[in-house]
Amino acid sequence: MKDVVLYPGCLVLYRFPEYEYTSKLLLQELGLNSVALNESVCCGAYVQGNTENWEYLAAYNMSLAELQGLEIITLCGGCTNTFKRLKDMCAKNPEKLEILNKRLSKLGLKFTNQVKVRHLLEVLNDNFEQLERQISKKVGLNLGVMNPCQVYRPSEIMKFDNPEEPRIMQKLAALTGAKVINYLQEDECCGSSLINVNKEMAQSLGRNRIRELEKLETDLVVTACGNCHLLLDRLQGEYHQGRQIPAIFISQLIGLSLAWPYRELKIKNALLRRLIKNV
Amino acid sequence: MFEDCIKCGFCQENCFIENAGFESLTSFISGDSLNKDVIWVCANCWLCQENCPQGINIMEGKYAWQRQLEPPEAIEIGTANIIDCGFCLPISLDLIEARIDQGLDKFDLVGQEIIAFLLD
Repeated sequence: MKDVVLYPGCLVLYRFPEYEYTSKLLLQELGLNSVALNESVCCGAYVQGNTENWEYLAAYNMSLAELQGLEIITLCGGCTNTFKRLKDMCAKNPEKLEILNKRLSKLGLKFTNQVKVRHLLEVLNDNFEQLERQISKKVGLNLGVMNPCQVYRPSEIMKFDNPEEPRIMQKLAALTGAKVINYLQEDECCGSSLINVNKEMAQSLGRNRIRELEKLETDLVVTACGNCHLLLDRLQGEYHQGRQIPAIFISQLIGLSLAWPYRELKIKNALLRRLIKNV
Repeated sequence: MFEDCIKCGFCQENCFIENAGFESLTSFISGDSLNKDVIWVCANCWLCQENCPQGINIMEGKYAWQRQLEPPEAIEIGTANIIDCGFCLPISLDLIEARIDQGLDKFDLVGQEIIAFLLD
């Protein structure tokens, strides 16, 4: 089994261990043994508007993975975007790589820019046929897909799926036998990071989406990023008084379809538990 | 960064925040708003940059503007958390210990001196 680093990022590490756990199991199914990145830090996304030194955080994490010769698998859009953008900047500007390494060398580290970075969705897509063969349980639920936008854009760097109308996540969700419901905001960002700036605005965007999903009789919304999950699931009760539309991580949904023992799905939401038990 | 901007408004048209009825970063870029606070109203979806006919690196421009402004309180708190534990949320040793029971790998938090060195 090949080792890889599973990098949860701040939000998943803090709030959503179920996403990290089920992703770890899913990677195992695909022949990848994931390990945690010792002494890792924030990817740098959070402080980009504060300091240019976000680049050192991203480079530091990637150099730690390089030290072990391991690929990094990410779970959120922001971390994926930050790592890949810094890699691109360094590939286009070797001087930047030199500047970063001047500092990292004092920690005994070197960032060579050889490290491979993929979001979980990319790994799943790369193993689509294997997953298709392994699926043993059909999920007869109606799902809305919440795409992690930063995994697709900027397209000249991210190079994954259609940048404005991504469909790979829908394809993965449909693989489980679920019915994918098309809806008005399906190609739009969740708006979750606006919580840091204007919570009411973020809630309003979440409400628009959940109301639309409710109208279309959607059972669940499937996510592949901690930020999307935070706004659409954890905070849903703060802005939506209608029928609850729980969110499920893509790793949990696929795990369900792979007929994992129920306890391994780590479902916390009571309504989601009831829906899943009927599958 | 924005010297090539022709004020075509494509960024604004493509912004889902604007389309939901709010002023965003793109209002400031297009000149519709002079309120610098809206520079923070961006969810990092990159759609404006994806559609900019002038190929402007809007997001890099945004970050450069933001670095000259006072950050919102939540960003300041998150930054303080990074300085404290390495992550923008308060990751404690108890949380790291709890990972074992959750079936996850335990790992060591990095020393504050290393974080300070990286961010200095």
